[in-house]
Amino acid sequence: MLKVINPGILMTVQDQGRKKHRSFGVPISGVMDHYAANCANYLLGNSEKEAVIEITMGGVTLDVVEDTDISVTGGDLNGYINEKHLPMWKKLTVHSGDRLTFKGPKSGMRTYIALPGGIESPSYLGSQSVYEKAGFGKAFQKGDNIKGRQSTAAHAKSIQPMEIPTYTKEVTVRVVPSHYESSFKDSSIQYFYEKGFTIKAADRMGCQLQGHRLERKENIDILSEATTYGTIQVPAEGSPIILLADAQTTGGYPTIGTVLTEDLWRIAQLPPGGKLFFERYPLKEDLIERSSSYESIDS
Amino acid sequence: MNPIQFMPLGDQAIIVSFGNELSKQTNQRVQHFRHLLLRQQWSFIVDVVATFTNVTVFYDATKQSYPGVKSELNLLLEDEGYREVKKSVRNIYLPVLYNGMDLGRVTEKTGLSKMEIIQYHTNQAYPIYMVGFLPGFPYVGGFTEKFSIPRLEKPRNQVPKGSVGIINSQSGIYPVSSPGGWNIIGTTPVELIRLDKKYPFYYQAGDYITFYPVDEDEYKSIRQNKLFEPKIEVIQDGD
Repeated sequence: MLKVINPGILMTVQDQGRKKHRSFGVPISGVMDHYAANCANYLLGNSEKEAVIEITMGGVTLDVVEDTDISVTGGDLNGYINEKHLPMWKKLTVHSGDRLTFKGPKSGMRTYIALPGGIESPSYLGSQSVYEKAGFGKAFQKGDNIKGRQSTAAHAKSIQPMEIPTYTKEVTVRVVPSHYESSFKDSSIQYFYEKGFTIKAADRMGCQLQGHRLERKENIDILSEATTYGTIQVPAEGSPIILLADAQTTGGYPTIGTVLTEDLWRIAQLPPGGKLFFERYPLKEDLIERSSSYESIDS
Repeated sequence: MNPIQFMPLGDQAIIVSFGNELSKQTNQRVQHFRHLLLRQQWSFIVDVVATFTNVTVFYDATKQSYPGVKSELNLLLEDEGYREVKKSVRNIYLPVLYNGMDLGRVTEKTGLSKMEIIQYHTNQAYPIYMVGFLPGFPYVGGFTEKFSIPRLEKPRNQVPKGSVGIINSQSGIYPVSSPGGWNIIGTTPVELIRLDKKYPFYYQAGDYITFYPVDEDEYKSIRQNKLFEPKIEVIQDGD
């Protein structure tokens, strides 16, 4: 068991999220970086479905109150056990009286901690993922206890060094174009895929990008429609916003595309100031006709 | 009738579009298709979301590919898309205290008196076109064209929980406090997200809401009554 001495900027329980309740306007939530969270569970022999702790950016202090196995994965938030660097991507045993601290990002943005058997916390609509806006759980506060369902890992496993991602400050992600793509000026689409954007600000709801402003051929009103984790909206002033795990389920802004699921973790780990490039990735047998702008990008 | 279009939303969802014009008829086709889809119980379907003119199908890409989902949906539309399906939907009666901070603005913009606004807003079952923007926020449609006023030019930083607003001949309810730009005409005392329940929401897209007016005393007594349950009718739709 761990005790929260300082919860930092944001520390929450997250699992695979609520994927079946969008018709009630409930965001999917869940871990932002599925790969790292799945690895944390895997190292302790947990099922992928188990909830983990997601730490954003650090500033966190935790005291170990009872001996327990843990695993720590994801971005490197400069973690320590007492005075020593905290080893990541492997099973550890921490002891009563130990102090874990996460000082701040060295690489990446989010760290995951798994405990054996998962984490004890309330479940709403079949998920333990904290989504405070609807009252689905609360972010950790000073004095909270974090309890694993067990204290020792059932089957500890290891991860090969080559399976550990490197979190860089410059990433490229693939984008499935949206049906509104052709409503943007050809020059804007070209810019979108050729030049990078800078992360201005990001939280669990969305990521604001800074760069060239995307312009539309004409301004037409759009009826709200479904959005998802990875959908790139372009409000009237032209700076794209990427919707993330806690984003609203519908939106009335034109979209230019949606980031491929497999690539979302890269955005989740990109810090403010980081650089993001997009690669156009139409799905096979796409009914959308390829616009002339795409051909011009190709040539 | 507009041709139906299929469009990807990323690599794990497909949008089935029934057009770009919002109308009661188009939204009925949307709700109809959503019911038809849910009835198939296809294992590759994760979630089905109805919005104004679209149905978005979230699928498990490890079980079915984009072209595969598209062809299944197309076949279903060809076979049954135009056949009437009977479905049970709910009509939820929600009390409203008409004391909204924008009532003055709404009377000015619409030329209606407060009494007329209440009359046009209440005592009839209005369809929920979609739920979105916030958990449990319903976009209730079909109101008089006299309610076709735009959203506030400058959204408020905080609209209180329970606020009932109108824009563009639609009505919405804020189940939680949130920034927002709807013209607020009243407040419902009903808790719209019930965290102690397995199913915390009363309604989803395709259901109906009937608003009815209450005075301040009734509002307070409902607010204080933890056991208050709004009246819910199950009605057969699509006959």
